[in-house]
Amino acid sequence: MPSARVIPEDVLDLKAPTKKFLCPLTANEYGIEFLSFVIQDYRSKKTIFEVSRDRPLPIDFSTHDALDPDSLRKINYELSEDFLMLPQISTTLVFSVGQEPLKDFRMIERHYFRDRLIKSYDFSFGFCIPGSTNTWEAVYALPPMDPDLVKDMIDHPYETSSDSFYFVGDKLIMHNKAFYKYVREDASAQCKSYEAKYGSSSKGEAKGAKNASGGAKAEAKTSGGGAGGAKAEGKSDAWSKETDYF
Amino acid sequence: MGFLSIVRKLREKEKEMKLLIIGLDNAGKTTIIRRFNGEPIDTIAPTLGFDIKTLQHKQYTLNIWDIGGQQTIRTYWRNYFEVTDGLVWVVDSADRWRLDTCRDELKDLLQEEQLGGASLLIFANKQDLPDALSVDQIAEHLDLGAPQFKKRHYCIKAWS
Ligand SMILES: Nc1nc2c(ncn2[C@@H]2O[C@H](COP(=O)(O)OP(=O)(O)OP(=O)(O)O)[C@@H](O)[C@H]2O)c(=O)[nH]1
Ligand SMILES: [Mg+2]
Repeated sequence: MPSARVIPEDVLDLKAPTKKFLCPLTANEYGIEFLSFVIQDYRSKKTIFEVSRDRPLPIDFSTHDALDPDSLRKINYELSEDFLMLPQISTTLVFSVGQEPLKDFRMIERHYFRDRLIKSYDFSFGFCIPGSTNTWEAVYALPPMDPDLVKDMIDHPYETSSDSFYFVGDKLIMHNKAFYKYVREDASAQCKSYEAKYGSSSKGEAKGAKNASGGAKAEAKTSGGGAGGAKAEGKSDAWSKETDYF
Repeated sequence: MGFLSIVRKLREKEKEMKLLIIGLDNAGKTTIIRRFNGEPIDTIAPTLGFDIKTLQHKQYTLNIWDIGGQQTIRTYWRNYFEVTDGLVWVVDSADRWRLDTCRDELKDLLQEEQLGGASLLIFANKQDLPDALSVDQIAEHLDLGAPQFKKRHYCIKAWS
């Protein structure tokens, strides 16, 4: 899709991962930087995945191509299989914007297993204050998935993928790709793989990451946001907490 | 009342709702939301933009928009008023020095046409502090008896 202008409706129509990036890296003229992205089990508040300046993703040299600048906007995620099973997931994205106000900032994320659309997420942030640091947490249940599909997703690493599109108004300013590998948990282990990795710390530290220097490079790596939350029908009781507070 | 009534309204009528949580900086907005979600509240930094929480439950979505209250940010508040169903105004009950500012900002806010349809909940926060004013005192300072509030569905609650 070389020169044609890509608008939100176009990407909402996509039925499979794109072959190429639909905008150049330089389209992000707004200095948007992703500072952290955290996935948690909403109930236990345990971190399943985190990427931030303090915890950058390791570069996978088997797939990383230093000569290909696009490799900066392709991210490989390794997630616990629990991500696919937990009744309630929370994802938290922290991003900063440059010195210009942003109007109608919007994210559309399409998730696939191979060429099959699993879910789509569409969120409008609207206005972003110049120089601001903003947080978006989404709490949701994954749509119920066919056990065979889940098994396939676990058995075939990185064949689950997503395209994240960021628009300012109708203008596509960023496109990132993510590839997911789901790791089985060892039932006989003392604790979950992610507990060993991230402890049970909260995502609080993710904030303030802005002070860390690092500039534009870290951008593509932490970007993308992971799974989005489709209209979910679940057995969950998301607001069970409410009774504690009224 | 309060959140519960808002959630009830959500369940009865619409599938998507927006709550806007706003007030002067340091009032405790972000803390309230974190606590409401059972999250740790010991590492909260001032909000330098927005902090949105999207809660999806079955086919319902509740978007909670917590906007920073620092003075430089206040000028941008109006960008977040669109389609607001519920407005929560948080007051630091012990911040006597700024109650006038708090009252004026609230009055300005309620002039906004876009917020005309929003129910208003005022939280008199930090009631645990020894020098906190009571709910009644806060209501008086905020001039809640003014005609402006006559037509509006609002309530004020103590919170700490
Ligand atoms: N004593 C007491 N302190 C509180 C209470 N709620 C919040 N605080 C403290 O007040 C300070 C400000 O809390 P925040 O939640 O960051 O305030 P905010 O309204 O989000 O502030 P901005 O993001 O700058 O607009 C923090 O140090 C909190 O720990 C409360 O009920 N009692
Ligand atoms: Mg705050």
